[in-house]
Amino acid sequence: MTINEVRAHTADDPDIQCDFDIHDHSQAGQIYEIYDDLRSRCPVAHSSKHGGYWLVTSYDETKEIYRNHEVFSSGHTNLPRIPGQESPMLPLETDPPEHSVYRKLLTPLFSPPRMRALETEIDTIIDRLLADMDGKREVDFIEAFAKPLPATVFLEMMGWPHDDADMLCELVDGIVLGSPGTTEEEVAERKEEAATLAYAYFAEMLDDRMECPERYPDDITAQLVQGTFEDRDLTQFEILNMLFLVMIAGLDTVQGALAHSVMYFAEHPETRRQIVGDPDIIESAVEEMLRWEAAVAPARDVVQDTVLGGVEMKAGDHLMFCLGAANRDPAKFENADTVDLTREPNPHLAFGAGIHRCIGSHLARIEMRLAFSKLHERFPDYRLDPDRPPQVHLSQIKGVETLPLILGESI
Amino acid sequence: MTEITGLAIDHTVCSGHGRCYAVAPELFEPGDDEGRGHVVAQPTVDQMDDAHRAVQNCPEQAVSIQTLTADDKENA
Repeated sequence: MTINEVRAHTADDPDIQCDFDIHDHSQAGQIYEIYDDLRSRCPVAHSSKHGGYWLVTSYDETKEIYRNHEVFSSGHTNLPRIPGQESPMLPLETDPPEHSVYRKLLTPLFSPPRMRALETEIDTIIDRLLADMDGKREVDFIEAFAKPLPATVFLEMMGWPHDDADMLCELVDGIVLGSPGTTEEEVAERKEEAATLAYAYFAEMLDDRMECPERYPDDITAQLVQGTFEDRDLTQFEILNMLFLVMIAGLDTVQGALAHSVMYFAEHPETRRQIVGDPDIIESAVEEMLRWEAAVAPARDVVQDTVLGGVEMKAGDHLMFCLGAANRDPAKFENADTVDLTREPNPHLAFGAGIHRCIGSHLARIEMRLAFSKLHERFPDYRLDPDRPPQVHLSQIKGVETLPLILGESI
Repeated sequence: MTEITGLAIDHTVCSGHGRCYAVAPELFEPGDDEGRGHVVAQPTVDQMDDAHRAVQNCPEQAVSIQTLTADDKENA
């Protein structure tokens, strides 16, 4: 067959149709089977939901989307768009050149040396959370650990009171999930209300900084207050917007990664014992669990006509790609559907790639490494509570709402 | 002409995942705020496995091992 004879699929081609909806929580339990099926049939599929959009489940095409940001714009990373959201999240929902300016402001705050300097404090936070779990037979791992850890670390980095962790977590839940089990309108209303409260809280913290900047050390808030966009000061709105993104991206994702890992370890004691028995394995275990449960499924706007994976796309189309699906692509990973804590190599895409690579990845890795290590030192045995199975939700950030564990027992 | 192995990072592609200095800290270090890796030492024969691991673990395929001739090196 010559190049001229290869015909690209188009949006109405019956071979590539599906009705996948990442916001349908009832599919959470079978999501990887759904991804496998789509990837093997049509790695670039067309879904009928939300007005029609492209759905990408393969590793190579995911990489191509990240590399080709001139065609796949980050103008809107939520699909469908968030009701009431009038401006982009900075810098996530911007393209170069603006993206580069905002990104440069944030990157020094999340640099590897700066994150390493936080390790002692993260250690202390973990010790305190684990001490609170001591002596209990039953705990909800989400409430006891996976939720407060990233929230407290976020507050520490910002230089804000640790005591605000519960309130912050409640807001993030509201923003991400709305009010589960209610009507679509009520969910949207709760999301908007929580977002407004979060902005108000950030504004209060910023006002505090502005009034007496000398009282505060060199934390992220202080740095952002002094930040500039090219030659002008940042507006308050820009700062609030960046804080909002850092919060959303840093709390829910780490909570999900920790919870999904522990859920797996509870169900696979032989894997858990590898960690207990050989702490040297932890670094590669973190990478493997990141590959195994990559939470995020970002969206893009197609802004130029293009062909991706043999499929013709038009400017104006919308697209979603699922990192969890890319990370289990058998064309890239041998035994992709098996957890191998010593997997080598493991070039997974849990943190994305290209110019939007997760800015918090260096921090997330430290949080996971210390959590894996300290949790298993103190609690080498745990199991799921047979009477209360974990509650998992889908959406563009896959997550875990409750994870009841029984400590000191193993299956 | 002598052949020399050269470990290199393409910084137009590297986005700072930091996998290279995680798997081969003796060959790479974080070199900027973004966490992009920089080559700090060329691999000895014993370190060639680590060098290959860095190449294979990079999600951006930014790390490469090039075989240069002595002449290439002089021109580089």
